[in-house]
Amino acid sequence: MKVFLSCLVCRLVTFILQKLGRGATTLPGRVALKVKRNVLSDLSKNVKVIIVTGTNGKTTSCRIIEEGLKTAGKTYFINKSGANLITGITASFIMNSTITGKNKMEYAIVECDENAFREVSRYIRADVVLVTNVFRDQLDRYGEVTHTLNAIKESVLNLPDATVCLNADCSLTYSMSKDIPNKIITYGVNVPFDKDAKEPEISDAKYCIFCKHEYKYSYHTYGHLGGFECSECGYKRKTPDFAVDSVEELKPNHSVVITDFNGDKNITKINIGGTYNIYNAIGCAAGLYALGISQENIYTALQNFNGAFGRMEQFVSGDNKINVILVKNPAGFSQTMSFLKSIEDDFTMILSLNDNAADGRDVSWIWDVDFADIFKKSNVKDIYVTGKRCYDMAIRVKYEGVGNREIKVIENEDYDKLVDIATSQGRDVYIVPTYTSMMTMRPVIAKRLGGKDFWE
Amino acid sequence: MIIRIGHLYPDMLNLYGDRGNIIALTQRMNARGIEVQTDRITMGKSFNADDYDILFIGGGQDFEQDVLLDDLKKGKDLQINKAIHNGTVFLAICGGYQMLGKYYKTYDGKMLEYMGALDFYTEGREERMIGNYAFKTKEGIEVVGFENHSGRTHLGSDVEPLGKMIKGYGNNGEDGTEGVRYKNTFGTYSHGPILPKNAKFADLLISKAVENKYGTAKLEPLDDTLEHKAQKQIMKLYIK
Ligand SMILES: [Zn+2]
Repeated sequence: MKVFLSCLVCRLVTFILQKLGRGATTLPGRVALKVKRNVLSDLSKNVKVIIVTGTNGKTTSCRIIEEGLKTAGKTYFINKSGANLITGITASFIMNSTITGKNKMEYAIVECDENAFREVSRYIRADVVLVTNVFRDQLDRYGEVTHTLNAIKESVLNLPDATVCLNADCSLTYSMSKDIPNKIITYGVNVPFDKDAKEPEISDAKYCIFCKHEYKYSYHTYGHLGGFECSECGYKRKTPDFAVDSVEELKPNHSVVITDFNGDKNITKINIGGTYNIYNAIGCAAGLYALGISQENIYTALQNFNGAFGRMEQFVSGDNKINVILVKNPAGFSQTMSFLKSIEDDFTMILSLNDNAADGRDVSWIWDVDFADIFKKSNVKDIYVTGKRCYDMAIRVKYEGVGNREIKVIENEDYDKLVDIATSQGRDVYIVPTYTSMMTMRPVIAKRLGGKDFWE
Repeated sequence: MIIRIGHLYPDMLNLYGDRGNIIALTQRMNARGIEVQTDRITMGKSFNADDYDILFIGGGQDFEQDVLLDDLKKGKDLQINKAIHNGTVFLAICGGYQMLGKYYKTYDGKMLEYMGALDFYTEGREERMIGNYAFKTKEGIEVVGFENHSGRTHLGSDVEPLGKMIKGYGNNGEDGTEGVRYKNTFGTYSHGPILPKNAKFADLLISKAVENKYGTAKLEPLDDTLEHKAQKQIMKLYIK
């Protein structure tokens, strides 16, 4: 009875909000939880659930898994990007169940905030947990990087029956394999993306998590990911079950790699650019496999997948493209810069920095971004900064060195002006905002340039 | 002219964008024709304080500070002590600042013996002091930053505070002081990149270092329009 009531109030509130023209908020989930705290445990009973968590790549990974399930002809639902706390997750289960609490879909793809995972894991039932990686993120909100790792680990301990997919190249993520009883599938990249790259300066985990000795690396991929080994206690990377064995081609819009899935080698196109998306792709391959999807369908999904909302979204303005790439932390921002560096056409760059709770109140992290000498490239024509902390970003860019360019500032979060500027460049534009900035600017861009309504 | 910077533990205490400070020092000196050479003084590497005109140490995670205390005791602590008392310019931030004091007592009672180079101690509490903040040095320089610490620092009588709080917690949230100042050592809770947007404070450090080495220092003014606007933006949003 309570399940019924809980579902009913959630639907009612959602319906009213929609009539009022308001987008999804946390309210429907909140009222549902008020009526029945553990409503998720009922709703996750009759559906195959995969939970995607970790610092970077959650949304893109969910989209790739979605593509995999679609390819395999399965029915599924997925919680909306940004609605990844218990309220949003609960609401998405309710909206995809019958009024008596029976799920209408075969699969649920759940993007779960790593710190909300603790609470979610107390109620939900899951078949697979995919952990993308653990990086430093929004420190002032969550504390330090090992706290994030512990949050994930403790949550997994609440789900002993789930198969857990771990990034073997992330010494933090992989360390949890020692403490959890679950069945584990590992994934990773066996080679560096760029053989000539210098050793990365940024490191979230330079010292062994078990004995605090410095890791030795046989190669680096990005951030602290790579072939780590502790000579003191013997903790080291293990060759993963799902691996990228070599990288053949890195293009702005796609990569070509040789994958090795449990010994089955294949040349695979990954239809999204960015080295970090190679990790997302291989992680999803492991996740889909754990869900029982065939390897053939997995390959097809990786080849057909395109884009992910918010992470990299494209709008069209005349002959030019306005691209929006969300950044949340130093690793993601650095990867975005190295991605932009691979572009050969002229473009304008717009960086937008906010400091609301969801962005991280402390903007110091922008100084850990590796700009990869991008401003040495002459096709980066104009540089604009905007957002609530536009001048912090202006200084960051100034001290990076921008050559003869002028750093132009769009003050007062004036996103209408931003669209005016973006559409009058006569060249492609890449907008790189933090989370709440993206959330505010996107409706403004979509209203003027088209694009589906965010809330749908 | 050449100024040599020693960056202590850049491999470990590299959180919160600490390297922004080295970038700011370097570029502001280069812009005035001063050559800068920076050495990374990492774990296990010994150094001689006499080789440096500016020393810098950043903040870090609790997990990594344990590793570091052992390394400090292998001789780096003596060199740091010497530098501080010789009047070498030394900027220490957050965790690095705390380590110059006598000890850190965690809120659950664990005692960490620190270098004791300066007369102050720190005691942890569970509740962190977090937020944008601002203080003013005795020269009247206004500094804005972001603090995030659970340690409460109490200064002894042998040292001065770096500044008086305009807004925020500072050393302990009680006595209105922020940071420590002793000769040319500057300790502060403003973690991460304090120097880039506090241009006057950066220049104070540079002029002290040049003065130490070359007798006098007269720094040409630079175009700090963006820096001033960044300060103003934070002042307007969070301070005044
Ligand atoms: Zn070890």
